[in-house]
Amino acid sequence: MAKRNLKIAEKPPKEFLAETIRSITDISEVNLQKILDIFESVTFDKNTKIIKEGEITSYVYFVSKGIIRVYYHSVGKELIDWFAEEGSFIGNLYSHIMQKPGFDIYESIEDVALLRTQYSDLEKLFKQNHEIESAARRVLEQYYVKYVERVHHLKGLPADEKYHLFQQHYGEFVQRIPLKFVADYLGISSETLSRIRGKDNKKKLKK
Amino acid sequence: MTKQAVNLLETQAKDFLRQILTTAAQVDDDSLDVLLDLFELVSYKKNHEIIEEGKIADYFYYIHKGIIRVYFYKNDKLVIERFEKEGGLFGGNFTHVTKKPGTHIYESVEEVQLLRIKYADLDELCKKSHQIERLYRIMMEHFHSGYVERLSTFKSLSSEERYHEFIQQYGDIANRVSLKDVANYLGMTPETLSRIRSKYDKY
Repeated sequence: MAKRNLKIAEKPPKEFLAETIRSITDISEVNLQKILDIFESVTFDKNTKIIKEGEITSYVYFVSKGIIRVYYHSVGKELIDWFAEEGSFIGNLYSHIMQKPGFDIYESIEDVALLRTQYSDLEKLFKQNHEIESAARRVLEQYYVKYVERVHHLKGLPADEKYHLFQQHYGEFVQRIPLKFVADYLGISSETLSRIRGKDNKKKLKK
Repeated sequence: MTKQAVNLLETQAKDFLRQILTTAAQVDDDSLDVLLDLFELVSYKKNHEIIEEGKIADYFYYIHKGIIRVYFYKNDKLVIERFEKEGGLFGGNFTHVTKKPGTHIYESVEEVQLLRIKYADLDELCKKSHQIERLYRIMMEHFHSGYVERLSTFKSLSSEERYHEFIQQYGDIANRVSLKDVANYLGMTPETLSRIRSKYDKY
């Protein structure tokens, strides 16, 4: 997966969203504008729970700046599902579709700037407009592709390989995620992760 | 099977699929007929690789009868990602979108009867029909939610809890799949699974 370009995040949020959609699907500018029109800007401080546990979400968000940690509680433990970085869409699709309380918590690990819209407004647009519905389907496909890749990466690999894949996947974002969260996400202890990182640094120095 | 029997089976399978699709979204009968016409029935024997490793999937499948397992190799070790049974859908983990060779293998665990549709035909129809595009989008969302639910309930539960969840989610699959495969999927040794099962069966 290509490393993300940080510069892109400095663009106005709606321009960033437009570029992200264009990169996934062909869509006329008229219809793209209709999508952009229903999004509004919101910002949250670091460590804010944007979507809480047990909530049925009515919003879908686009991350234009910052990183969000997606996690849930299981048998008294906090388990990290993934990190939503700049350019990601979030929203607890599961709880929305099933109309069941979601188990995931979406929490900012930096100050974040987001665009958001109500699911119901999006769905109205889909219903009215065939091209927008097609675009939505393609955006969803990309989202699922990423999800499947994440799952595939994590299953059945030794700790160091998991970490290296994680680095490849998230690029420079790795530096912005606390060590403890990375370890949790990979399902390894912080000590193991430190050891892997130390080894990697030694290798770098030798070169 | 005679040609007649095959036709009958295909009609039956399509009736089931029609029911599943109409519960997912409102679609008029004409649009649904056009869609179902594009599906064809295929049958495979046990242990047949329906989608092979390294391939880009051309078809999207609906399972009318039987079970498949979805797995991949990591460091020469076989890892089972999931099972799908009657009523389930599968389609090669979006290799038709990424155009990258697939890492997963889709293989029948029993003799299977499937309905399949070419992605190219489905795509073509989605362009023509807003209703079908909508149906496809909604089916995909459901499929994904199910996938997420299965995976999330799994992480970090104890071995016993994982087995319990497995029974809840998959029902009778547990008796139709080999013990070894179930253990692999649940990330435990066959011995541990046997132990849990014998305890579980007592209740």
